[in-house]
Amino acid sequence: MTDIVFDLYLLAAALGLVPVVAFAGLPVLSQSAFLAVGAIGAMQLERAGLPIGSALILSIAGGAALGALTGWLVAKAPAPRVALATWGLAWLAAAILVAAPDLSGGTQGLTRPALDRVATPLFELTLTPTVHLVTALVLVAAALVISERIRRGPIGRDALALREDREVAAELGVPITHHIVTLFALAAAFGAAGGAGFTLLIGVAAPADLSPLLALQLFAAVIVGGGAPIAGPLLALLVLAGVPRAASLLAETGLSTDAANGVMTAAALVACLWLRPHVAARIRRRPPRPVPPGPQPEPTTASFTAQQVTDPLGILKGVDVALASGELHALVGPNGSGKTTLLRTLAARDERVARTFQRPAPLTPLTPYEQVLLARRDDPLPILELTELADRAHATDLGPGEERLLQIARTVATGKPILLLDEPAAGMTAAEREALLRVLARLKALDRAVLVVEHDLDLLSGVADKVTRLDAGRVRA
Amino acid sequence: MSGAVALQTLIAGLATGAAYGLIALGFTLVHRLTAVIAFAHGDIVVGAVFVAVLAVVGSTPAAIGLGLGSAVAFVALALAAGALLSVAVYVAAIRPFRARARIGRAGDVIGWAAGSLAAALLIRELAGLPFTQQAYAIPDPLGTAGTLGLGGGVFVEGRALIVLAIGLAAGIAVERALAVTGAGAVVRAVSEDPGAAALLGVPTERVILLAFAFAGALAGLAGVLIAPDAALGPADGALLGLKGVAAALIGGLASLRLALAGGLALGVLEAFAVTELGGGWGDVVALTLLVLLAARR
Repeated sequence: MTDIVFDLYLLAAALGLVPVVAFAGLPVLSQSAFLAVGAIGAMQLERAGLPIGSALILSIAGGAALGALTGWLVAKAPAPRVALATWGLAWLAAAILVAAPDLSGGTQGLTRPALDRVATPLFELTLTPTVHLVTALVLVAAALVISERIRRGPIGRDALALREDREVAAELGVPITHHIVTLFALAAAFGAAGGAGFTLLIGVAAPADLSPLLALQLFAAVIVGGGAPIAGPLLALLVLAGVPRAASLLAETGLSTDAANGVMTAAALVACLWLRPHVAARIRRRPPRPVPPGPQPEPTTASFTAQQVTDPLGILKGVDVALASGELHALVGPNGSGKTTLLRTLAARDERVARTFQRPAPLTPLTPYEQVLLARRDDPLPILELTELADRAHATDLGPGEERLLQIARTVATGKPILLLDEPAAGMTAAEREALLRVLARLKALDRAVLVVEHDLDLLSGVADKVTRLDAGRVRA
Repeated sequence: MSGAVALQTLIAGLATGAAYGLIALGFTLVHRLTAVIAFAHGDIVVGAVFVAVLAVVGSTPAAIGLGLGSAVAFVALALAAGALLSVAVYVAAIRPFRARARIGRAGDVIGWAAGSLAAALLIRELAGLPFTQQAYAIPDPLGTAGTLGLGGGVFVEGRALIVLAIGLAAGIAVERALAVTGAGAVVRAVSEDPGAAALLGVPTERVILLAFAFAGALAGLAGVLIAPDAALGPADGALLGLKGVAAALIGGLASLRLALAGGLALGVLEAFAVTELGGGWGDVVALTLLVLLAARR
């Protein structure tokens, strides 16, 4: 039974990774380091004189703290850098265990009696495999419940947006750093708990059981299921239980144990990569809980002036911009004249500015209803009505023109008074262009200050109050 | 630490650092073109050495002297094996996950990171298959260069100076070649705007393949230079690769010249950490640096 309980502790460590890896899309390769904090931490704290219960709790808290620190460090890094930093952390933990035998117990590791009798304030119990089985199952269940709550709640929605397009998520005000720190701390806490759990189970914490290879096995176990509610944990358990058993079969052919482990871990990674799209295609996302009816978007007042705007790349040669409440300002000019650069620069300067993107920015798995919720934690329907997308609130097959309208809806949902729209008419049908004009008129009626980049001046002639022509980074009359 | 010991440590560190610099060049070249971190690169370094060892010396290597012919064959094989392994990893484990990437972006990061880590494990275990020991003394194609007395009973190995010279010469040659020739302009064009380069008729995919091959050959050279320093085992690649990428990060993963300088700096830092703190702490210092630099942005 010890074997299967061991696997269940590892499963809990793997499932803790689901929100950060599968939802937020961050490649976290350091779970073995967090396991080591739990395993070695619990052993050393007990040696320092703490009762084992307190040692456990403290070591799990230590793992969570290291996780939060790691998340904070990598919060602004792009995904390849996250993979590199966390892979480095897995090796750093292994290197510390080698360099400090006093801490790790050397290659033998640290030992304690496995069938220990422990006293709690209420009762005494012996740590039999059955007690461990129950504990491990509780841990696994906790990881599953927490994942599911995150998936259905605002953090899961934000995490998906972050995975699909970090730039857009940041523009919509998603608290990226906060979420990454939280999800890393959660993953590390489950890692530390799993590590401490299997250490007490077998009575040994040895560096060989906490190697970077284990981090790869845990990573493989998470990417295969991609957070699928039922198939996910089953496949993860299959990987975690299957790799060591397949490796010992392979070792019977004369291969060394280490080599057999390496080969089977590689095989697991390849198999999981191959299976991953098939599992992901079957995940059905449940619609979000409907938000009770909320207020209409409020009128705003704000005027905006910026003088002699320049950018670090020297594309803008000093541009003056003035926007007033309820005014629509058209910005025209040839390709490369600096229109998008101007929008980006203005949006970075002022907290009150929200902008859309010239490129498609679909945030695919999220419906329009959920996408508006990203920016406004209130009823999305009034905003979707304003942008004529209400009957498409739960659609997953938006056309390019509808997607442009959705970009506008998301910016309006931020509640900011100054809106910069980058070629909103691109890819729109004639009917959608009509809708766009009605939406722009409504934004004026709500006293938003709107700047629209557009090639076709005729389109905007009815609604534009002012036209600015940009050429080679300068305003032309 | 006496001045002589410090000098000895410095020169040994610079020699190791020159090899780190060559590994770092490979990481930088590939990252500039594709935004990919070549996770299998370290195992390619060691894999290339063991392929050459197997072909030239056999499966029970020892630090024997090589004749001129075998020495040349040894180095050439390591370079070729490195280039082949690097291209194979790109084609099998990285390219499939960049197919749907937006231009200039990294594509499916979880896909290629997991794929190249799997490839790294396979290279390590396949290269280790014919060898039974954990580590071997690897023959030195440079022969034995003797030692240089510094007085006070302190000696610098002549080998360290030769390795430093070869490493720096190779690194600077690559850097200059890319800067001066048309090849460099093409690489720059592809790394700055792959879409525009493709429209202008630059064979983007072929440039990327060449860069991976070139990075692999540099990895083979680095392996040959660094292997005789200490006993080397088939499993030592991952750590070597992480030190190479740490060196590349010192140069911001963007500049070839700074990557080389980063290698030297890391080599010296590690050498002093080992003399001052003891054996295992060199790795700890290098990996701490890696984690901090990788996360910074």
